[in-house]
Amino acid sequence: MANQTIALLALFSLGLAPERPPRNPPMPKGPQPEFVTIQAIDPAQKRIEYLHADAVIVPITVAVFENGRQVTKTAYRQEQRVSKRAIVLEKEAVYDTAGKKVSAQEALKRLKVGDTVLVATQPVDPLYLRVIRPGTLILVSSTPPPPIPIPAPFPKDKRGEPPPKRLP
Amino acid sequence: MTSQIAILVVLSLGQPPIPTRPQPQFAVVRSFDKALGQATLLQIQAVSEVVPEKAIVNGQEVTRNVIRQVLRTVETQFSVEKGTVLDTAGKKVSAAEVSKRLKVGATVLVASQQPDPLYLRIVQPETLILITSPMPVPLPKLPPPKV
Repeated sequence: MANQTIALLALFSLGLAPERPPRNPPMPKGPQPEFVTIQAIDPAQKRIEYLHADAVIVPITVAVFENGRQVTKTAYRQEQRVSKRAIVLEKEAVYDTAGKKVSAQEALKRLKVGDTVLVATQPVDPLYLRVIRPGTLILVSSTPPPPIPIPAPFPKDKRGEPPPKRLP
Repeated sequence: MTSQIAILVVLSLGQPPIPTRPQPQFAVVRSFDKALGQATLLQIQAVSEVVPEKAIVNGQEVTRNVIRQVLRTVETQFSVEKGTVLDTAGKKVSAAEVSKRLKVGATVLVASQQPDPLYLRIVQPETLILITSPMPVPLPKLPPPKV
Protein backbone atom coordinates (compact mmCIF):
# COMPACT_ATOMS: atom_id res chain seq x y z
CA MET A 1 0.00 0.00 0.00
CA ALA A 2 2.79 2.43 1.01
CA ASN A 3 4.75 1.55 -2.13
CA GLN A 4 1.71 2.20 -4.30
CA THR A 5 1.15 5.57 -2.63
CA ILE A 6 4.79 6.54 -3.20
CA ALA A 7 4.59 5.45 -6.81
CA LEU A 8 1.38 7.43 -7.31
CA LEU A 9 2.91 10.52 -5.65
CA ALA A 10 6.02 10.18 -7.85
CA LEU A 11 3.93 9.94 -10.99
CA PHE A 12 1.78 12.88 -9.89
CA SER A 13 4.81 15.03 -9.10
CA LEU A 14 6.34 14.24 -12.51
CA GLY A 15 3.34 15.78 -14.18
CA LEU A 16 3.39 18.83 -11.95
CA ALA A 17 7.14 19.45 -12.02
CA PRO A 18 7.98 22.55 -14.05
CA GLU A 19 9.63 21.86 -17.37
CA ARG A 20 13.37 22.42 -17.00
CA PRO A 21 15.27 23.86 -19.92
CA PRO A 22 18.23 21.79 -21.06
CA ARG A 23 21.47 22.95 -19.44
CA ASN A 24 23.54 22.80 -22.58
CA PRO A 25 21.17 23.05 -25.53
CA PRO A 26 22.54 21.43 -28.67
CA MET A 27 24.24 23.80 -31.05
CA PRO A 28 24.47 23.41 -34.82
CA LYS A 29 27.84 22.14 -35.97
CA GLY A 30 28.06 23.53 -39.45
CA PRO A 31 27.29 26.66 -41.41
CA GLN A 32 23.68 27.64 -41.88
CA PRO A 33 22.06 27.04 -45.26
CA GLU A 34 20.87 29.90 -47.41
CA PHE A 35 17.45 30.51 -48.89
CA VAL A 36 17.41 30.87 -52.67
CA THR A 37 14.76 31.01 -55.38
CA ILE A 38 15.07 29.01 -58.56
CA GLN A 39 15.26 31.11 -61.72
CA ALA A 40 15.74 28.49 -64.44
CA ILE A 41 15.89 24.72 -64.88
CA ASP A 42 17.66 22.95 -67.72
CA PRO A 43 16.39 19.34 -67.59
CA ALA A 44 18.77 18.17 -70.33
CA GLN A 45 21.89 19.31 -68.49
CA LYS A 46 20.28 18.79 -65.06
CA ARG A 47 21.28 22.35 -64.29
CA ILE A 48 19.53 24.66 -61.85
CA GLU A 49 20.00 28.43 -61.83
CA TYR A 50 19.24 30.42 -58.71
CA LEU A 51 19.67 33.89 -57.31
CA HIS A 52 22.22 34.28 -54.56
CA ALA A 53 22.86 37.33 -52.38
CA ASP A 54 26.60 37.90 -52.05
CA ALA A 55 28.33 40.22 -49.64
CA VAL A 56 30.75 42.34 -51.64
CA ILE A 57 33.19 44.96 -50.47
CA VAL A 58 33.09 48.11 -52.53
CA PRO A 59 35.34 51.15 -52.40
CA ILE A 60 33.65 54.47 -51.71
CA THR A 61 35.00 57.97 -51.37
CA VAL A 62 34.41 59.81 -48.15
CA ALA A 63 35.09 63.41 -47.28
CA VAL A 64 36.93 63.81 -43.95
CA PHE A 65 38.48 66.76 -42.15
CA GLU A 66 42.18 66.49 -41.40
CA ASN A 67 44.05 69.37 -39.78
CA GLY A 68 41.11 71.63 -40.52
CA ARG A 69 41.13 70.76 -44.24
CA GLN A 70 38.58 68.68 -46.08
CA VAL A 71 40.21 65.75 -47.85
CA THR A 72 38.70 62.92 -49.85
CA LYS A 73 39.69 59.35 -48.96
CA THR A 74 38.86 55.88 -50.17
CA ALA A 75 37.00 53.75 -47.64
CA TYR A 76 35.34 50.34 -47.95
CA ARG A 77 31.77 49.32 -47.40
CA GLN A 78 30.05 45.93 -47.45
CA GLU A 79 27.05 45.66 -49.76
CA GLN A 80 24.65 42.88 -50.74
CA ARG A 81 24.63 42.04 -54.45
CA VAL A 82 22.33 39.53 -56.04
CA SER A 83 24.03 37.27 -58.56
CA LYS A 84 22.93 34.28 -60.59
CA ARG A 85 24.56 30.96 -59.70
CA ALA A 86 24.13 27.51 -61.15
CA ILE A 87 24.38 23.97 -59.86
CA VAL A 88 24.56 20.76 -61.91
CA LEU A 89 22.49 18.21 -60.02
CA GLU A 90 24.45 15.20 -61.25
CA LYS A 91 27.73 16.60 -59.93
CA GLU A 92 26.38 17.80 -56.59
CA ALA A 93 24.07 16.32 -53.96
CA VAL A 94 20.43 16.98 -53.14
CA TYR A 95 18.90 16.10 -49.76
CA ASP A 96 15.45 16.32 -48.22
CA THR A 97 14.77 17.73 -44.75
CA ALA A 98 15.15 14.26 -43.22
CA GLY A 99 18.73 14.12 -44.49
CA LYS A 100 17.89 11.52 -47.15
CA LYS A 101 19.65 11.82 -50.49
CA VAL A 102 17.41 12.67 -53.43
CA SER A 103 18.45 11.57 -56.91
CA ALA A 104 18.99 14.16 -59.65
CA GLN A 105 16.00 12.72 -61.59
CA GLU A 106 13.72 12.95 -58.57
CA ALA A 107 14.92 16.48 -57.77
CA LEU A 108 14.21 17.59 -61.34
CA LYS A 109 10.69 16.20 -61.06
CA ARG A 110 10.05 18.05 -57.82
CA LEU A 111 11.67 21.40 -58.58
CA LYS A 112 9.90 24.18 -60.44
CA VAL A 113 10.98 27.65 -61.51
CA GLY A 114 10.11 30.09 -58.73
CA ASP A 115 10.46 27.49 -55.97
CA THR A 116 12.38 28.31 -52.82
CA VAL A 117 15.06 25.85 -51.74
CA LEU A 118 18.04 25.83 -49.40
CA VAL A 119 21.62 25.75 -50.61
CA ALA A 120 24.64 24.77 -48.56
CA THR A 121 28.27 23.81 -48.97
CA GLN A 122 27.92 20.68 -46.81
CA PRO A 123 25.06 18.53 -45.47
CA VAL A 124 22.95 20.77 -43.23
CA ASP A 125 22.78 20.26 -39.46
CA PRO A 126 19.30 18.91 -38.55
CA LEU A 127 18.95 21.70 -35.95
CA TYR A 128 18.47 24.19 -38.78
CA LEU A 129 16.04 21.95 -40.61
CA ARG A 130 13.63 21.74 -37.67
CA VAL A 131 12.03 25.00 -38.84
CA ILE A 132 11.87 24.00 -42.51
CA ARG A 133 8.77 22.44 -44.03
CA PRO A 134 9.06 18.78 -44.99
CA GLY A 135 9.38 18.36 -48.73
CA THR A 136 11.84 21.22 -49.10
CA LEU A 137 14.95 20.30 -51.06
CA ILE A 138 18.48 21.18 -49.99
CA LEU A 139 21.06 21.60 -52.75
CA VAL A 140 24.55 20.87 -51.47
CA SER A 141 27.38 22.14 -53.61
CA SER A 142 30.81 21.07 -52.43
CA THR A 143 32.45 23.71 -54.63
CA PRO A 144 33.61 26.49 -52.32
CA PRO A 145 32.58 29.99 -53.33
CA PRO A 146 35.28 31.81 -55.26
CA PRO A 147 37.50 34.10 -53.17
CA ILE A 148 36.58 37.74 -53.31
CA PRO A 149 39.43 39.90 -54.65
CA ILE A 150 40.34 42.89 -52.54
CA PRO A 151 38.85 45.97 -54.18
CA ALA A 152 41.39 48.46 -55.42
CA PRO A 153 41.12 52.03 -54.18
CA PHE A 154 39.72 54.52 -56.67
CA PRO A 155 42.29 55.73 -59.18
CA LYS A 156 43.17 59.37 -58.85
CA ASP A 157 42.36 61.82 -61.63
CA LYS A 158 44.72 64.44 -63.11
CA ARG A 159 44.32 66.64 -60.07
CA GLY A 160 45.34 63.75 -57.84
CA GLU A 161 41.84 63.26 -56.44
CA PRO A 162 39.51 60.26 -56.56
CA PRO A 163 36.38 60.57 -58.73
CA PRO A 164 33.60 62.56 -57.09
CA LYS A 165 31.46 59.58 -56.01
CA ARG A 166 30.08 60.24 -52.58
CA LEU A 167 28.22 58.27 -49.99
CA PRO A 168 24.48 58.47 -50.58
CA MET B 1 2.52 56.02 -68.93
CA THR B 2 -0.24 53.44 -68.48
CA SER B 3 0.93 51.58 -71.57
CA GLN B 4 4.51 51.50 -70.20
CA ILE B 5 3.29 49.97 -66.94
CA ALA B 6 1.21 47.46 -68.91
CA ILE B 7 4.27 46.46 -70.97
CA LEU B 8 6.33 46.02 -67.79
CA VAL B 9 3.60 43.89 -66.22
CA VAL B 10 3.37 41.73 -69.36
CA LEU B 11 7.16 41.32 -69.47
CA SER B 12 7.36 40.44 -65.78
CA LEU B 13 4.59 37.83 -66.07
CA GLY B 14 6.96 35.26 -67.54
CA GLN B 15 9.69 35.97 -65.02
CA PRO B 16 10.07 33.93 -61.85
CA PRO B 17 9.52 35.99 -58.69
CA ILE B 18 12.58 37.67 -57.22
CA PRO B 19 12.81 38.28 -53.48
CA THR B 20 13.12 41.97 -52.68
CA ARG B 21 13.71 41.72 -48.95
CA PRO B 22 16.60 40.03 -47.12
CA GLN B 23 16.60 36.37 -46.24
CA PRO B 24 16.33 35.37 -42.59
CA GLN B 25 19.18 33.78 -40.66
CA PHE B 26 18.97 30.76 -38.39
CA ALA B 27 19.66 31.07 -34.66
CA VAL B 28 19.38 28.75 -31.66
CA VAL B 29 18.03 29.97 -28.31
CA ARG B 30 20.85 29.43 -25.84
CA SER B 31 19.07 30.81 -22.79
CA PHE B 32 15.84 32.61 -22.03
CA ASP B 33 15.13 34.63 -18.90
CA LYS B 34 11.33 34.77 -18.80
CA ALA B 35 11.29 37.30 -15.96
CA LEU B 36 13.47 39.77 -17.87
CA GLY B 37 12.14 38.74 -21.26
CA GLN B 38 15.73 38.42 -22.44
CA ALA B 39 16.87 35.69 -24.81
CA THR B 40 20.43 34.81 -25.77
CA LEU B 41 20.74 33.63 -29.36
CA LEU B 42 23.61 31.77 -30.96
CA GLN B 43 24.35 32.03 -34.64
CA ILE B 44 27.04 30.59 -36.84
CA GLN B 45 27.96 33.34 -39.25
CA ALA B 46 30.31 33.61 -42.17
CA VAL B 47 32.72 36.47 -41.58
CA SER B 48 35.06 37.92 -44.20
CA GLU B 49 38.76 37.60 -43.49
CA VAL B 50 41.80 38.60 -45.54
CA VAL B 51 44.05 35.63 -46.23
CA PRO B 52 47.17 35.33 -48.40
CA GLU B 53 46.73 33.11 -51.46
CA LYS B 54 49.29 31.87 -53.96
CA ALA B 55 48.46 32.44 -57.61
CA ILE B 56 50.25 32.15 -60.95
CA VAL B 57 50.47 35.50 -62.76
CA ASN B 58 52.32 35.62 -66.11
CA GLY B 59 53.87 32.25 -65.35
CA GLN B 60 55.22 33.38 -61.99
CA GLU B 61 53.97 32.39 -58.55
CA VAL B 62 52.82 35.40 -56.58
CA THR B 63 51.18 35.75 -53.20
CA ARG B 64 48.18 38.03 -53.10
CA ASN B 65 45.62 38.80 -50.45
CA VAL B 66 42.03 37.70 -51.00
CA ILE B 67 38.92 37.84 -48.87
CA ARG B 68 37.57 34.49 -47.70
CA GLN B 69 34.59 33.59 -45.58
CA VAL B 70 35.33 31.95 -42.22
CA LEU B 71 32.77 30.67 -39.71
CA ARG B 72 32.34 32.34 -36.32
CA THR B 73 29.87 31.68 -33.51
CA VAL B 74 28.13 34.93 -32.66
CA GLU B 75 26.05 35.47 -29.52
CA THR B 76 23.34 38.13 -29.48
CA GLN B 77 20.78 39.32 -26.97
CA PHE B 78 17.13 39.78 -27.81
CA SER B 79 14.59 41.58 -25.64
CA VAL B 80 11.09 40.20 -26.05
CA GLU B 81 9.60 43.42 -24.65
CA LYS B 82 11.59 45.82 -26.83
CA GLY B 83 12.01 43.71 -29.95
CA THR B 84 9.50 42.62 -32.57
CA VAL B 85 8.57 39.00 -33.17
CA LEU B 86 6.64 37.91 -36.25
CA ASP B 87 5.11 34.66 -37.40
CA THR B 88 5.61 33.31 -40.92
CA ALA B 89 2.53 35.20 -42.12
CA GLY B 90 4.14 38.47 -41.05
CA LYS B 91 1.76 38.89 -38.11
CA LYS B 92 3.16 40.36 -34.89
CA VAL B 93 3.36 37.90 -31.99
CA SER B 94 2.71 39.41 -28.55
CA ALA B 95 5.43 39.38 -25.88
CA ALA B 96 3.27 37.12 -23.68
CA GLU B 97 2.84 34.63 -26.52
CA VAL B 98 6.57 34.74 -27.30
CA SER B 99 7.38 34.01 -23.63
CA LYS B 100 5.17 30.94 -23.87
CA ARG B 101 6.58 29.68 -27.16
CA LEU B 102 10.27 30.53 -26.92
CA LYS B 103 12.16 27.54 -25.53
CA VAL B 104 15.83 27.00 -24.80
CA GLY B 105 17.36 24.94 -27.59
CA ALA B 106 14.70 25.96 -30.10
CA THR B 107 15.63 27.10 -33.58
CA VAL B 108 14.30 30.50 -34.59
CA LEU B 109 14.85 32.84 -37.49
CA VAL B 110 16.33 36.29 -37.12
CA ALA B 111 16.26 39.17 -39.55
CA SER B 112 16.83 42.91 -39.55
CA GLN B 113 13.41 43.45 -41.19
CA GLN B 114 10.46 41.32 -42.20
CA PRO B 115 11.93 38.62 -44.47
CA ASP B 116 10.65 38.21 -48.00
CA PRO B 117 7.53 35.96 -48.13
CA LEU B 118 9.22 33.97 -50.91
CA TYR B 119 11.71 32.65 -48.35
CA LEU B 120 9.07 32.02 -45.68
CA ARG B 121 7.13 29.65 -47.97
CA ILE B 122 9.42 26.82 -46.87
CA VAL B 123 9.42 27.70 -43.17
CA GLN B 124 7.29 25.77 -40.66
CA PRO B 125 4.26 27.92 -39.72
CA GLU B 126 4.92 27.85 -35.96
CA THR B 127 8.45 29.28 -36.36
CA LEU B 128 9.16 32.57 -34.63
CA ILE B 129 10.97 35.32 -36.55
CA LEU B 130 12.87 37.71 -34.31
CA ILE B 131 13.45 41.13 -35.79
CA THR B 132 16.73 42.40 -34.49
CA SER B 133 18.68 45.56 -35.14
CA PRO B 134 21.00 44.92 -38.07
CA MET B 135 24.13 43.24 -36.82
CA PRO B 136 27.24 45.20 -37.76
CA VAL B 137 29.15 43.17 -40.30
CA PRO B 138 32.84 43.25 -39.39
CA LEU B 139 34.82 44.32 -42.42
CA PRO B 140 38.12 42.55 -42.99
CA LYS B 141 41.30 44.53 -42.44
CA LEU B 142 42.03 45.94 -45.86
CA PRO B 143 45.11 47.80 -47.04
CA PRO B 144 45.12 51.36 -45.69
CA PRO B 145 43.08 53.63 -47.93
CA LYS B 146 45.08 56.11 -49.98
CA VAL B 147 44.43 59.83 -49.92
